[in-house]
Amino acid sequence: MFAYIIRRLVYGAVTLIALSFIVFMMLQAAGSPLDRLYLNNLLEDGFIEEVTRLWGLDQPLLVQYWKWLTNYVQPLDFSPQNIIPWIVLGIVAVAIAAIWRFAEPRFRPAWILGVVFVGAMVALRNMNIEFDWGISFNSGSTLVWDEVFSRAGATFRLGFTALGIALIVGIPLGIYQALRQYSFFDQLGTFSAFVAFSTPIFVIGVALQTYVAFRFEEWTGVKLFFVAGMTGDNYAQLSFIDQMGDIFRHLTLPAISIALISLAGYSRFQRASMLEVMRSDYLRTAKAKGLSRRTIIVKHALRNALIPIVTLVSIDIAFIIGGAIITESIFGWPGLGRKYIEALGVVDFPVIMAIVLVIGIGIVIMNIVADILYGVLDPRVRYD
Amino acid sequence: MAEPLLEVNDLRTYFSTEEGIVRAVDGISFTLDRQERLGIVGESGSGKSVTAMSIMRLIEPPAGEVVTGTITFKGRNLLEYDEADMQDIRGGQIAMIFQDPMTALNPVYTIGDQLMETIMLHQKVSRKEAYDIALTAIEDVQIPGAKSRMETYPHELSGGMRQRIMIAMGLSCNPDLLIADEPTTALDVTTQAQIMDLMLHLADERGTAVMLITHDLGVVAGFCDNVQVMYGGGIVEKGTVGQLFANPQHPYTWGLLGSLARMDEEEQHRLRSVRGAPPSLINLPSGCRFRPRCDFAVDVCAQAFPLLRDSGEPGQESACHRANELDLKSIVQEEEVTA
Repeated sequence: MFAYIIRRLVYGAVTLIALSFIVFMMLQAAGSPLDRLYLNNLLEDGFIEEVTRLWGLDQPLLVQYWKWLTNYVQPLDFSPQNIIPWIVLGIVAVAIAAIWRFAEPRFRPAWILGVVFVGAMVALRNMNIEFDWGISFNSGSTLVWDEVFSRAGATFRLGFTALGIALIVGIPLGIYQALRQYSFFDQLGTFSAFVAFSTPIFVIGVALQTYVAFRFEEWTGVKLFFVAGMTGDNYAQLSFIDQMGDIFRHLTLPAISIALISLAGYSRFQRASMLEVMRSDYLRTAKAKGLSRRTIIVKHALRNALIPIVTLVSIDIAFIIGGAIITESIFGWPGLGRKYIEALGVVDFPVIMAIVLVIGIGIVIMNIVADILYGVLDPRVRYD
Repeated sequence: MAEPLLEVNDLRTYFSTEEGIVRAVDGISFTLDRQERLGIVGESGSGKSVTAMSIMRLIEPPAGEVVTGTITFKGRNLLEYDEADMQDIRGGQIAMIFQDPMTALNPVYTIGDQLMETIMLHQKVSRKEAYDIALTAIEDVQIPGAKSRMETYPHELSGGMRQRIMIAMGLSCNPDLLIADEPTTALDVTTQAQIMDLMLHLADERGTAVMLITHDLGVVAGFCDNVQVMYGGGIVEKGTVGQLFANPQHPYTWGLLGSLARMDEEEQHRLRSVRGAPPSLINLPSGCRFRPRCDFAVDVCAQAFPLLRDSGEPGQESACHRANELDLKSIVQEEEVTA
């Protein structure tokens, strides 16, 4: 299993290098980001040539790419802010030893990876990290690392909230529909899923803004949700409870608009998977054993019915982050997606490359996590 | 005479489909005594499995429903039980083994989990005790290395092994009745006999009656006391194995026996086949259901539905209008087959 994970990580790295190379080369088709400056009469002669040389844009493409790649993976600063990363390291080490001793062998990798993942998250939050991702062409001075890093949090907040909504609502919905097949509720669910699934994400976003925020406010006089930004202007002055409320009122609509399509997909898929399991021979066996309907469904059906959806979710994560690009623009969300659209507009190579790679890394990691989850849920899956 | 273990009376189980009502089981009655081994034979769609599922109340409305009849088990009608009481019966007093062992076990739980689940449910014992009982059950079905088998998953075992586990699971709570629905059909021929021997030996040890559903007359001949033949949702003939094989009273039984290659016959004869295909259970033929395929059909067969009545030897019954006038045993096939 561990050999498998390492192999997957190596494949993942190769995938990411290939991805970065292809995107880098494709961006050349947009021409030099400095081209549009030729229209500016106020610039001194030779300025553009100087900047081109300064940014290394006059060098051969492969040299440029190689320089970018080697800088990308090189940390400028990687040091603990305080003692917390060291404490986390200790706790993780003890936890792994305990897992190795007490956990069932089949669940060991999942436990260990879970502990490592949580530990890494906590440790990274308490470290000074900086990579040399270059300088934003557009600003000419800000570090790409700062621009991307400061926005990744916003995108993950939105993306994971949306994923959470889609999972928490979509999966139980599908299961319930399967258990009450052909009932009114089931038909309604099917119809709604088709509507949600076939509506473009920007239509959903604008519709939510119009009806759930504006019209609702017109009719009731209550301002329930905000349609732009991640927090209010006075966020810093609010109490903790009010801060949570503020986040909730900003987050809800964009998260729902991303979640709806995935939610519709999950409920359909979960319904089908549950129906298949409900018809299976082993469920008949479970019933013939004298188990109650509750035990049959909760113990015997659910775990089997959840296995296929893991695959769907792991693929869907890419879609959710991709969907955030559009939604972030509609809702003025200060995340990677909106930055990405801005950067595309001005052919800001370093920013575009950095964001593509951050999303790529996220997808590679989530896919590995999904594979591990698969192995935990289904004993027939073996990685060796 | 002692009360029978199971008495089925005029059981009718219908399924509603878009094309119409499927009369999968249409008015069957039979009894099963304690420790009896009853074979139920018939071709696919004759209603054997639905009979078993009806007894276990595994038919799920609205797709299918037991419309009339009684199923008296130890003096009480199972059809009047509520779901909670029925759960005590299932697995505890009546156990069932299914046809395809490859899919009958839950793939995500270990053999031990699945065995112990039944044991803890019906015997009200602790986990530790259940573990010991499960271990013994695996040893009883002659699987080596019982301890390590407890930790294995179904996909790590062969079909024969899995069917042994199903048998262990079925018999682990010492049921009064074991319903085996084509338990060896999906298995290798070489393991079939082993599995049957094992199952019946263990059932005898526990005093468990066995209802063996099969389409294999050879299996019935080898392992059962009594046999009943089903056709088109009804029972067409019943008797002891000896009676039925030596002196079939119904043309369908006679046809089935004729299609069997037998090692115990002195003179060789050409194997017969029953012509035609099983009837649609939605549009059943008038009168006798076997009439369209029967070589001996006469006018009365189209007009009246034949009921089971005594025919042949004492205890033997047949649902054929002509049972008493035909001497099927001595009829030579060549003379009778038309076209």
